[in-house]
Amino acid sequence: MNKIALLVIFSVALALVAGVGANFRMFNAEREFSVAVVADDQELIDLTPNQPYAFIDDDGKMIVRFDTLNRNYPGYGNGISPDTIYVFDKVFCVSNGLWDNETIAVDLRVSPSLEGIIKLYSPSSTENRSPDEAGSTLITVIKPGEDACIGFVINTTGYTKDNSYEGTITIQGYRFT
Amino acid sequence: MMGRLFGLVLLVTALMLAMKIGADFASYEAERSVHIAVVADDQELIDLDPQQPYAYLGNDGKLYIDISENNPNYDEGLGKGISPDSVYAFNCMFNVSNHLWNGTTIEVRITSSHSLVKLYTDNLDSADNTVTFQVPPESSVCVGMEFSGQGLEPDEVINGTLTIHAEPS
Repeated sequence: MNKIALLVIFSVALALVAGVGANFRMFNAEREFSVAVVADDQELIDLTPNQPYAFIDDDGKMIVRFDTLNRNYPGYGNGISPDTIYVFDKVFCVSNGLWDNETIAVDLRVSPSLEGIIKLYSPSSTENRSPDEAGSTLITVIKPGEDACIGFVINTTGYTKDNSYEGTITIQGYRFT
Repeated sequence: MMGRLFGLVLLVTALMLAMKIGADFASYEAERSVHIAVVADDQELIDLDPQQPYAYLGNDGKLYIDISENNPNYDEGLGKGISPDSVYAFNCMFNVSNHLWNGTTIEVRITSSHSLVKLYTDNLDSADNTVTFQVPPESSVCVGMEFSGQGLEPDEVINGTLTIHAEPS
């Protein structure tokens, strides 16, 4: 009987020392990921130039230029004059190339440095559908495989010649719920 | 001499006790079979289960995250990647679920090898290179991923690995 007791105690001690209880101890795995970096007009939510004023620059990013440094500059029409209003339909388009069939809401915002001179509109937008309703911010809903084209209203009222104005448009997309 | 003999007898007795070998038992031998099924990531004890088309199980049964034309879920006309200086976040890229048979809650730690690829569970704001969370028995937790193209140029590729470690919590 003593021998059996000793055997049991020894076995339990061995199991404790060796750590081979019935319990799970550990799991380890390594898995790979890979992401292609592509130009703005090929990505998941892509920005595709639709007018010569917008183009994809060497860095793959879309840029809008109404000046002679635009790579599509034809040698004439060097910019916009003071106290004029231009309206350009569909300067660029935002499209939903996500793979998971998801409708997205896209929020475009003109940086403060350009707020007085550029406003955006899109027929796909709910509140800024036409040039008359153009705003510094714009929200549009884009279904899978569809796009929303963004128009510009450029108003140089009060601006003087030989100046240039730069800024950014921030584009944010999120799941539409 | 007597002392040494006594010591030897004592040592043998102690050894026999320690080795659990009684005088009435010589040896025991048996063969038992062990079968371990090697299965794909979405069927194993601790599952890694793709939840988005950007994640898939390769022919080798392993989970891959691939946002490029090489992904078998890519179709013509869809986006081919992410652009420079853009940031994408996908909730629930894959699931980690706990199908261990012994009802153990596990603590899972996943680490991304690339600084531009981050992980999160509930809150995108907390995305980091390492995410840690608990998975109760027969439950699963969604892992979201954030990808940044900061400072990159077209035709570059973000390559790396996710290291997944789990242990009882």
